[in-house]
Amino acid sequence: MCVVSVRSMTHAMKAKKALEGLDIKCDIIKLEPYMTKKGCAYGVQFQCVNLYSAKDALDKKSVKYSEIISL
Amino acid sequence: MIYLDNAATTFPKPQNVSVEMARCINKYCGNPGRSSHSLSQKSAEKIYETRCLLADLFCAEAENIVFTYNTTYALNIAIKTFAKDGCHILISDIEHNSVLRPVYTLCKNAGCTFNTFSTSGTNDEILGSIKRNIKASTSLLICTHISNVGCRRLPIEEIGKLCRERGIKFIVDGAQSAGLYDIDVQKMNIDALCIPGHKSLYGPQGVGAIIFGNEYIGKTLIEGGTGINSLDMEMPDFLPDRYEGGTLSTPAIVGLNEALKWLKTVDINKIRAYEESLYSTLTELLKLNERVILYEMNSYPGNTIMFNIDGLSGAYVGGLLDKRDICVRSGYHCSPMAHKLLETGDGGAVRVSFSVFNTKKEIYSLYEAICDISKKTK
Repeated sequence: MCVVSVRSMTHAMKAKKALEGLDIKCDIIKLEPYMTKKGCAYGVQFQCVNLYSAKDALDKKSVKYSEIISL
Repeated sequence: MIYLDNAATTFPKPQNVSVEMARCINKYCGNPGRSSHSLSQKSAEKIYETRCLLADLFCAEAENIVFTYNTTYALNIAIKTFAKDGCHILISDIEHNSVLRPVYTLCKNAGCTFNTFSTSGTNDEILGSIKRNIKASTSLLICTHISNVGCRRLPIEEIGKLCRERGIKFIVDGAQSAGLYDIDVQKMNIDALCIPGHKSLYGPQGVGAIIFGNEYIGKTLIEGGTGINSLDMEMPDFLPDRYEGGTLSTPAIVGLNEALKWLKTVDINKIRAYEESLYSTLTELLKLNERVILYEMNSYPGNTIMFNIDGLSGAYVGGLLDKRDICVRSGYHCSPMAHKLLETGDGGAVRVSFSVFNTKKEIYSLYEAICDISKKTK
């Protein structure tokens, strides 16, 4: 699975909406401690097969994210 | 009961507002943005949906919508985040205390100074007054869109253009106009639009918002938990979280969500035209009564009417109307400067304000009650 790490729940919602707009199935998850530097954070998890279209959707909808992690 | 105090808060609300608020409290009111479990996410989804509805209405980005408890909180955050220590602030001469008091406090505590510009005359005259009052140190202009006293409407698009040209941050108090007029924060160059959920947007009390034109990271007023970056001593350096410390009022935001959906089904221009027709009807009637002193600020109609009955205080008239089951608001309406301009005198005046749910029949009943009071108190 891939996880796009975002700023907050609001940005996670925006990312989820962007991905679902392309029929990419995804879920909002709380990131594991090793994935964050400052404590609690959220990410949106989706199948890595959709990585390129997901990146495209996030950029098109101006979703601000820090990185996409492959689990 | 006849309710005519809609400028304070609209009543009643569309039925779907309370239905969904009750459903939220009973079925899914988790703490939004604090967990990834289903109840927390359901609340967060509803809140994000509400951000999107507001973003659509005011032409903003969803993440630039900051929820507050009311317009006063929104204005305080916006004013105090934009104001630099020692700066000059320009406000209009009809501002509500929700602008006047925070600006006065900044002058007292942060070395700021302020001037007022005149809202009398044509739009060109208003812009002329603004230009005359701008100083080299002016970094912030704050004004109401529509006054809660006398419903004077300011040319915010032209003011926004001027502010952008001069590099001045522009904050609009949309307490009386949000939901009644089209407001485009991008086109109007508004840096922060401060709105209530519970007036012409027909949501419940307990939710307001700042609609930021762009992401702006300034000083914070409230620091605390945000559900993210918990190991960091600083508030997040992005919107909306920077200004949303603590748990949001999910039931109130859910109520606003429903109100906004309802508002989409009706044309706000039609609502405004309807309220203006009530205004014109009552104004014409009140002019027939010799004891009524009508305070008119403008040549155009609006949705609030100010009056007194000669020889009686506003509070007394308001009390007598209440005994007849008619709710109006008397006093200074938290707008001492506007009352001074209107020369309402000691005790202020009686304000009648409309919503889409008022009827012409109610207006005639109010007029009959006013005539009865003026006859019996001669």
